[in-house]
Amino acid sequence: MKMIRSKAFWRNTAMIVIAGTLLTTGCKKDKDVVEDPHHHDDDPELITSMVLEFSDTANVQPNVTVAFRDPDGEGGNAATEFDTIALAANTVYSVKITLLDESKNPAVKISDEVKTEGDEHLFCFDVTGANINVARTDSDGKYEIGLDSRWTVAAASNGTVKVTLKHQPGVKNGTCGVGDTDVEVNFITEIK
Amino acid sequence: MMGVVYAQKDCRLTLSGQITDDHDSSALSSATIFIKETQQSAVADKNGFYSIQQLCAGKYTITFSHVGCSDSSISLNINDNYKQDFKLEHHAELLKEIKVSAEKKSTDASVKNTLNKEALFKLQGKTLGKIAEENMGVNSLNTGSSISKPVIHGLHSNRILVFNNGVRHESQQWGSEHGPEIDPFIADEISVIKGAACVRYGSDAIGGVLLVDPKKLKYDSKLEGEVNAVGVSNGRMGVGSMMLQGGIPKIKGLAWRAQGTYKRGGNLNTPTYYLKNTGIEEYNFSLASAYKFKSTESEIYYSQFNTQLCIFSGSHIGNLSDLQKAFSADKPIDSSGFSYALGRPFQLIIHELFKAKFSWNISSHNSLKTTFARQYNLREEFDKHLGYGASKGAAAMHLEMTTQSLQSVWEYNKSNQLISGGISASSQKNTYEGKMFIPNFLNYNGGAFLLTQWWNKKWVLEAGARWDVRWQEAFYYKNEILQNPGANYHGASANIGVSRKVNNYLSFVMNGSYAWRPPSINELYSNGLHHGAAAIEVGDENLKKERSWNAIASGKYERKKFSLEAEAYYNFINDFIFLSPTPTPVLTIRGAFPAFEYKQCNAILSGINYQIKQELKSITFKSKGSFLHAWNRTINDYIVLMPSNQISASVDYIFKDNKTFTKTKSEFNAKHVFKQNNVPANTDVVAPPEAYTVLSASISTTIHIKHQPVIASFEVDNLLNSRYRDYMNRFRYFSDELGRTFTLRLRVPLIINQKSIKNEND
Repeated sequence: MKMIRSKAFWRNTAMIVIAGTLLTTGCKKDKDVVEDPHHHDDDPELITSMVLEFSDTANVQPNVTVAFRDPDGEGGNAATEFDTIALAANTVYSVKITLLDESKNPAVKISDEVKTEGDEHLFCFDVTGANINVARTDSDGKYEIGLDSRWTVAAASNGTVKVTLKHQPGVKNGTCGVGDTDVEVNFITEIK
Repeated sequence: MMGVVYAQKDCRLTLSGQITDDHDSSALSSATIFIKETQQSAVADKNGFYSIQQLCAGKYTITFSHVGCSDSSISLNINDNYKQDFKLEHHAELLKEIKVSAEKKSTDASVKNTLNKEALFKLQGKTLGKIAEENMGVNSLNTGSSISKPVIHGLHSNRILVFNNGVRHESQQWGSEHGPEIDPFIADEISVIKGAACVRYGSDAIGGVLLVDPKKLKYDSKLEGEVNAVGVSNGRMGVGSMMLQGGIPKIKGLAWRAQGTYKRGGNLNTPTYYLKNTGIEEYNFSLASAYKFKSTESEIYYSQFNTQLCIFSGSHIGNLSDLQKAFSADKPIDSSGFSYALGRPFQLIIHELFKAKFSWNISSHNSLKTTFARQYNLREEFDKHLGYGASKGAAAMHLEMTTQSLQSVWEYNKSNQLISGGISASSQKNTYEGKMFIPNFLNYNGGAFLLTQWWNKKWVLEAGARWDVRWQEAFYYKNEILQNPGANYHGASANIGVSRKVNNYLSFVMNGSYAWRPPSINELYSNGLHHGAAAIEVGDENLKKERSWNAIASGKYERKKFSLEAEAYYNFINDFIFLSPTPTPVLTIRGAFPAFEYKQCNAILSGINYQIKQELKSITFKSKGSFLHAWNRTINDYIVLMPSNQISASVDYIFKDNKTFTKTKSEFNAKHVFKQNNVPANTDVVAPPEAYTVLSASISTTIHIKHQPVIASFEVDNLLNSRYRDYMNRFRYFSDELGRTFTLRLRVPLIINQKSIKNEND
């Protein structure tokens, strides 16, 4: 009887030891510290800001800079800057688009990456109401990108220009119909 | 908050079942059953069915006899209602060969449905959510065809609890695209308790509880096992699962089990196109061991669930115009052919459960059970695109959650009464990497409950109460400043139930409860774009707890050839947390998104469910239906994302058994899902899909190859290859439901018993 009890004791002990060993060695552990959450600077990069720089190809009209800025990204605080595109009539502008991640310090220039991966990206310009004709002037070697463009502005008018960045890995064919939307900002546009 | 599960020991148990011939499975009418200890006996009817009632819990010696067969005795430990089927052998020496299959039935005053092993076989290869849907009153909330969450009486996610092997499943349950990380092959039975089963399982079980129970370990040291294989045409998916269990002959009282599952599938197809990137790879295993000595039993259990689950690439959208474009397209723009490739976007999930349980039967009336459990959940979600910058390729969402829990339950029972009490404590930590969707947090929970049951021949009365406390602290950055909000919740919950057996055919169960749940972490702190839904969701740190008053009544009329079961429920939820649309959309660099805030309202969820069965010789007609009305009383509007009403009808035909094929049955089923017209205004960018009817057919049989049975079934889903979309599938924006699908299922029980092989050779 005593013998059986001691056997049982050892078996129960063995179970506890196995259990303990499994628990301490076998189980997966989370090494992160709860009290120290990941900071914004560790976040995956995102596009928070788009800046359009207009310069008159004839060097007559003043340069114009237009921006959309939402430094904390989608949700959270509202956009801090959303400018109107105000251009002079009968002028041809060359336009350069810069994309930034301003949630980081210092800000990260995402447009450099868009340029490097030009074969996956395409900017699209939808003009409504305003007398503007937009033509992309850069290329990934096969298709246009749109980081650089030429805006031919005609008579005074009001409307909107929707600037869209399409992400088209593997499917880029020069049209705006494919891919996902990474940026879509509809600027109010005034031509005087 | 931690739940408590216990077995009962009482004196109103019924032993019933069917006695069949082991060789040809024919019913053995007028076989006799005799219980030595109580001197009770019964005679099986012409279909071999028998029933002995008013048994106390305990160990019994039961003798079966029939002309032409030798008497067989078996020793049974009965501590719950048993449905005990026996197969009588013509050989006297094969006493050990008596095959036992037990099906537990609910004895308490709760409204419960159970899928037994046989029912589960026909659902093998499906997700846990889809399997649970077979229960009356249960629906599923889906993200495509691979992610599925159970919905009980209109409630899901944090409003229902899932218990895996007696342990409350803890993972990122708040997300509608987060399915429960449990291998359905572990289950011997899957039950659903409807209405707030708060006292036993946790105060936050407002909608109900889903129980996934593996088979109890057997101590007879016989090595046995089972092999399951499933082949599915859609996605060209294969699933294999194997289980082995036994003992160690030299160590009496030791039992073990090992089980593993592997699943691999490729791109799924709708009636007219393939869904790009919908493959899956999943592997799971579990190990269990138990040791019984005198009045004690210790058990350890470990399981691991691993999956890489690809998400249909056409469902990944950048903004609202992408979503509208995807919806209006007849066919996803992002199309493909068949491929097993696992590409982006995908989810990578690991779930680990370790459990140690110690039970002590202090005396014949008293027992004590203590369970420790640790769970680890890793969830990584990878976007379609690699993203920008240095973190390129990293998971868009990375969450790790570790939960530890300890509970102790004492139980006292005598002839017509049971008292049970328990205490529980748990801690949980969650961390994120990369972009914050939900913050880091710590949770500490404590709970205590007391429950009593009283019964006689006709009545069961049940009453219980519990008290829970949760202390919670979150950590995250907002505007570059570390935020550290805390919240405390505590409160009582209670439950009363009555069960009344009017006569041999008619019985009723009524249950009333008060339950509450603390706001979940996303409801409190989320603030950002929900990519899948193309919506901005904003949490509210000041949300109060949600409180539910739930009444549910169920009636069952059961004759040999006809049965009807119906249930009605009325769930009044105070401070029901829901997403309320804001009047102005939020402007982002991706365009304007509709925005929603978590708000609280008074809600009423009410409904009825029924199932009916009529047998006519070899043909059985069945019908099932569920109807739900979900109303926001505060703003007098409907509640979003509630299952639509549905009815189904089926005809079964049972074939005559022969030497090779037994239990052969064919089934033809039609399911009609009504259009969900009861939706609130301004909450969805597209209207709910139209009503649909979908047909399915199956045939199942048991093939006897010498002495080896093989259980097989062949099923065709969406027989007519119909194009349809379902309101409860988030992919209704992007794609049709799956096209015609053929599924072949095989189960091979392995009985590795040298003695019996020897006997048969003699």
